[in-house]
Amino acid sequence: MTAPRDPTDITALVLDELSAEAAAALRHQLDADPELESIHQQTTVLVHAMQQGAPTPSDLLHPAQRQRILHSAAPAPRRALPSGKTTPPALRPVRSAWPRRLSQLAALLTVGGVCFWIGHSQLVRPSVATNQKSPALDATNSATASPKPPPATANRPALAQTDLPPAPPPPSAAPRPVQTAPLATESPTDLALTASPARTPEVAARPPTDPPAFKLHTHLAAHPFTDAARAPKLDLPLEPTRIRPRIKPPSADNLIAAKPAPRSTDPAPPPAPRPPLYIHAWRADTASCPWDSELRLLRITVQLPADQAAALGNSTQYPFEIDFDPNNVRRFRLLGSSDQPAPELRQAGRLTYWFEYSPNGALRDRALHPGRRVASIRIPNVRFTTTPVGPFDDGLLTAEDRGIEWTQARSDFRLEAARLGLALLLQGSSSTGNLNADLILKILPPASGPLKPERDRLANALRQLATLVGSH
Amino acid sequence: MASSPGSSSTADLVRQALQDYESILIGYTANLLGGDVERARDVVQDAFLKLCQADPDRVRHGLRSWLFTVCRNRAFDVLRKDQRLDFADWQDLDRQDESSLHPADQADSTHLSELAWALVEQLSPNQQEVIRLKFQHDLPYQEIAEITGLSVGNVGFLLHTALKKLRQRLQRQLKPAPPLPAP
Repeated sequence: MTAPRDPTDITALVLDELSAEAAAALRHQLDADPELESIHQQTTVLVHAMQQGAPTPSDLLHPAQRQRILHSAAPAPRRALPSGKTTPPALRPVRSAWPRRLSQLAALLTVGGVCFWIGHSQLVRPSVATNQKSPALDATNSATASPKPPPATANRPALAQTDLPPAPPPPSAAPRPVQTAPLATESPTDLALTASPARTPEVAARPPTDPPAFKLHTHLAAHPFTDAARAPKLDLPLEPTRIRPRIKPPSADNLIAAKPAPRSTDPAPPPAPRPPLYIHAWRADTASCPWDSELRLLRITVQLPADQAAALGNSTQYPFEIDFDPNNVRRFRLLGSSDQPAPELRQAGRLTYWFEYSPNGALRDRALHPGRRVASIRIPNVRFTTTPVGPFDDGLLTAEDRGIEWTQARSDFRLEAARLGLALLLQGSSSTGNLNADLILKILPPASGPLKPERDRLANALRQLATLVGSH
Repeated sequence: MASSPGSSSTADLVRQALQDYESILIGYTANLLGGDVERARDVVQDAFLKLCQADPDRVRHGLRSWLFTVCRNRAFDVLRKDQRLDFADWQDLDRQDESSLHPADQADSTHLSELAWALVEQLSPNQQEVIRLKFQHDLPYQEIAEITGLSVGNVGFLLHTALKKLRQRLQRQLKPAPPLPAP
């Protein structure tokens, strides 16, 4: 028998993986060698049998899993875009000579756009004016319909001005490094980590690429560990006004103060009922705790539209119930929370809550247990801005622990955990295990992807802090 | 303008991908996870959620390979966490299984394809994977190479070796049993 140059060629020939020339050469060789041809025929019979009898997979995803995928893939409405990431459509290059009708249409659109912008700025002003209450917002507070912004009304107090409130600060080419506020001595500690780059007129037109400023609170002192068997439920106040867009008030020099309103002798009106709360989405993530191997972290994120009465009106708290499962959780504590305001009115902001918990029972093993319930999260009477699809209860969010290590967690989870770790480190808490600056640098996700600017900023801040205290 | 995650083209891509690949990905992943269909569902769900975040223009070409690769990597992460993955044992499995084979154990099934697929379970995990990708999912060598991270030549060699083993074992299986000795 004359063996082919490569014995795998016979199999490749049967599977149609050879090029035409190689196949022709091999067939010529097979025709001349009966033993090779016998192997070729046996392989052909076997391959055909396997192709015919190949088991057909028939398992499908569970309906809840499928719905979750379809919901994630659904195109987001404009206001549900990730906060801070606005990418306006690319502008078409202006042609040197336009047809007459196109010129007229462009003029019409420009005028319409200016009118809309003026009207939009008028809408924002009620949150800027400190001593004046817009009747339009009062009307919105009592409304029970959709969370759309209230229309302009003729009764709104007139603020003659020559300077419209500026848009939220866009980034400059070289953002300032992260600044940390001085530590407070009272608890809970509020640590403001701002990343507001300088605003210059020439960059005002560029699309913002940096996330807006957020505020991080740590709650260790106020919320020590709680025994889940004794008190599994935690009621937190959810304050939608914390995601209200932060708009710089106009310069006082350009404002003409309105005449003071006459004091009313009528009795004070009854307090307006609490407006409904709308959210875009919420999620719960768990992973191992980087600074304490006996603990795990739970992050609950709620994304809310900024243009709703609950966020724009008076500060109102909504119940936010977290019910830990004592079968799987031994003790827990609220570690911190953060507010990420919406960059502008028609976008979304986020409220995030971080918990540490000590697993109970089987969760203490490091093996992967899919879907062990850690906690159930509920916001009573919450409404979603998009219609959820599926048989599940959309008012209840279940936090499941899948045994994920923090090294395998999502990049945004790791970035926020690093921020939280830094806040705890600066607070000087003694109950944070092996937390140190080096560990926080390791927690940061890899330097790639959309989170890279934020990630690099935090890494630079850590290195500067380390240099400052002489540890490098 | 390029599509971005969250756009309607992403939604269409994900819906179509679910329709085309949902069950075959679960089947493929379940085989990697030792038959654990529930965990395979979780892995496949994660893969599709990752697809929701991906740029559709980048993954559209080669979507099938992309999905298989993501499921494969995720399945190995799962196995690694379970500490059930030991690459050193993969080559030994082959030698161990040869001695356990006996014609009498497989006497009931005479259908060649059923027998062949039953014998696939006794191949090494590497060989099983390429056999399934080739025959169950009808992927070309090139795609199998992309998914598994092997070279095209290695894929060809693995398939050739696997089929040769199957052929030899089938011949042993289908050989008539020796006559009983006379009392």
